[in-house]
Amino acid sequence: MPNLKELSKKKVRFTGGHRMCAGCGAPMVVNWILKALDDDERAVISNATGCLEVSTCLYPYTSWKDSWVHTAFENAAATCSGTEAAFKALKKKDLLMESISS
Amino acid sequence: MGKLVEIRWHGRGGQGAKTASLLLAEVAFNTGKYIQGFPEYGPERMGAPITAYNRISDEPITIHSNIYEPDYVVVVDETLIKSVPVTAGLKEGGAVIVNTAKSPEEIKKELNFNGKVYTIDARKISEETLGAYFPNTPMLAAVVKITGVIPVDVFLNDIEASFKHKFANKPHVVPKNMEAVKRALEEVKGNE
Amino acid sequence: MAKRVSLSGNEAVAFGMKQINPDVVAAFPITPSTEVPQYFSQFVANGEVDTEFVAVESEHSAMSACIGAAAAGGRVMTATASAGLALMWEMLYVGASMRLPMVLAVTNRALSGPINIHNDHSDTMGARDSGWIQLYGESAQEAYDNLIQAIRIGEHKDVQLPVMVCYDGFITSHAVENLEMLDDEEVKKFVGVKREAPFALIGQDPVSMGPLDLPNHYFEHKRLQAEAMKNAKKVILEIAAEYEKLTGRKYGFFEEYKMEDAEAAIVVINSTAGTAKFVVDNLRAQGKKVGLIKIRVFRPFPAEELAEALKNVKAVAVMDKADSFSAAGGPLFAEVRSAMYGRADGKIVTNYIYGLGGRDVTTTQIEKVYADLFNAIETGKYEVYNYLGVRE
Ligand code: SF4
Repeated sequence: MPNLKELSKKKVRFTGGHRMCAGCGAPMVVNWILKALDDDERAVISNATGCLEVSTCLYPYTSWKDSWVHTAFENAAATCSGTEAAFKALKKKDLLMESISS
Repeated sequence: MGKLVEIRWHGRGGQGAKTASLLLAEVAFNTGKYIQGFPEYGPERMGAPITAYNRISDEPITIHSNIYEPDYVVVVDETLIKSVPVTAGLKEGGAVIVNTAKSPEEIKKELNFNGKVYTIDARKISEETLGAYFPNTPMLAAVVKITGVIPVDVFLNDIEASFKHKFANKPHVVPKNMEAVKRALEEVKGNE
Repeated sequence: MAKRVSLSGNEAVAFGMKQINPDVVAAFPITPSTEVPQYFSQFVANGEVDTEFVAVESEHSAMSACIGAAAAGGRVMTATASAGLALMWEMLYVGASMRLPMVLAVTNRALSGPINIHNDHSDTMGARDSGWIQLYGESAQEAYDNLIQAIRIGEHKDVQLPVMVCYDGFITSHAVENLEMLDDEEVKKFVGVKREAPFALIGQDPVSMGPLDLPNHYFEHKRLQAEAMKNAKKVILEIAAEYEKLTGRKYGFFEEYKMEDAEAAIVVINSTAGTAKFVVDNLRAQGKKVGLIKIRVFRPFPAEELAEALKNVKAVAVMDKADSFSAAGGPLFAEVRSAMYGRADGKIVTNYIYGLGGRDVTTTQIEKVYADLFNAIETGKYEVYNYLGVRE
């Protein structure tokens, strides 16, 4: 397992400039969770309605460097299950673009 | 047969009146007819009275209501005669076909009905040919013969082909089913 | 080559879905729609389609998963009815406003309460302003044809909206009738293998979808959504023309039946139109000038075209298989009368709420509607708001 120093060198996937309260723990948590990804990986993030959601993707701005989706309050997991299913199906049908299919 | 023929089936949930109506639709469809086969959905518990319908025509059928003035009524379970007004709305010149061991005369009296009555002992036929109570096959044959919705010889060829398909894994039951069909065609009897 | 088959409406829809071979189906069963996901999950289990089937725990989750899949760039289908559609409500609006093409087969069933499993149109009429395109069909054939066209309509670059394909519960969903099915190859060619998504979660570049949209942008986005619905009118006709070339079956915004010289007309949706055609034929045989308009496209609503089609009649009865409890008629009535205002004025326009909760609609009832219309033409006396076939 990499140590903190190594992790801090990883790609930043969640940028500043969002409107979360100064000192809020949530952006930090997001940053660190996204460090679980390797730098060449891409993610889709499903976000329930809430502070993190309204403050980080206020049209036309976004703090998310990966694909990010918000639909409603109670269904972030259900939404994501559909995205995952689409990924599997597109992969099975060989319809993903090359940059993703690897 | 150019005109629309409307048939109403009375049975009990679990006895296959709905399946029989769908089978009739299927054999008529196979001879190039326009068909409808649909049940009246209600509480479908085993044994509850159920109604199913067929429309069969040479022309496309657009009407989508239930059938209130049928040309034929088929009663798959004769105990229904006491509780359900099976002949309600039956067209003049129409007929009732009842699955029973009784004679058409007896049924006619029980129904208190003046039109044509036909009976077929589907229980006896199916138990003797198929070894169990499967009334659908003999009932279907009787209905084809009495309603004339399709020619009997066409029906015989078609039903044999469909038995062969359906029982591809147990071909020995095909002749038994055909026997049930042929006996029903012979044994259905009427009283005008 | 087209195949002549006998199928129930639900079978026709499930087979149509199989031929379309969508990327994702996320569904939850509800009578009388259950057979659709049931048959389809068999196709998935047998490897007859490449679709990922997501078995969810509610219709809300079904629609959420569909949105997640469509946002990813997948081609998505599902099915529901009645309370199931009601539970999707929140997500219907979200999916439409995210401009995600999806196809939802709805077997129309009465909304609770009281609970009732039979047909009326209260479910989809309730969802009429959710931003979904709504296509309605009289028969299993039309449900099948609408389903295949719906894929192309929703995915069109000028539209990018989800589509409901509605047909009557039990009356159409469970009745076996004749229809013609296209070959698998023909369907594949018609709908194409891949949905062209202009942007997607799983696409060239990362995207953020579903942002907070405040007063300085929200309105513009809604305006664009409204424009997409307008664009859908043109696209619906283009796709219908293409489909007609393939099948010989003609589709438009609505079907006009014996309207040329009609004095009295009925406007109606779904299977009752078939029963009413039977009545029109009988009345025509008696020399009565009657006609019928069957609405196929309810959203977008073909207001100008409908007014044009009604401009020569003397009296129109609009039949609603849903009440809106507005104390001013049902939803179709409100639309039709408003469409006629200023375009086809001076007509008698009446409303009949009928068939709620699966009350069977008979030829006698429809004859009565035409009789009422002729009576109104002769005497000038009539009720605007009527209930048909109910015990008062
Ligand atoms: S959770 Fe929301 S309200 Fe609380 S500190 Fe973070 S941004 Fe502020």
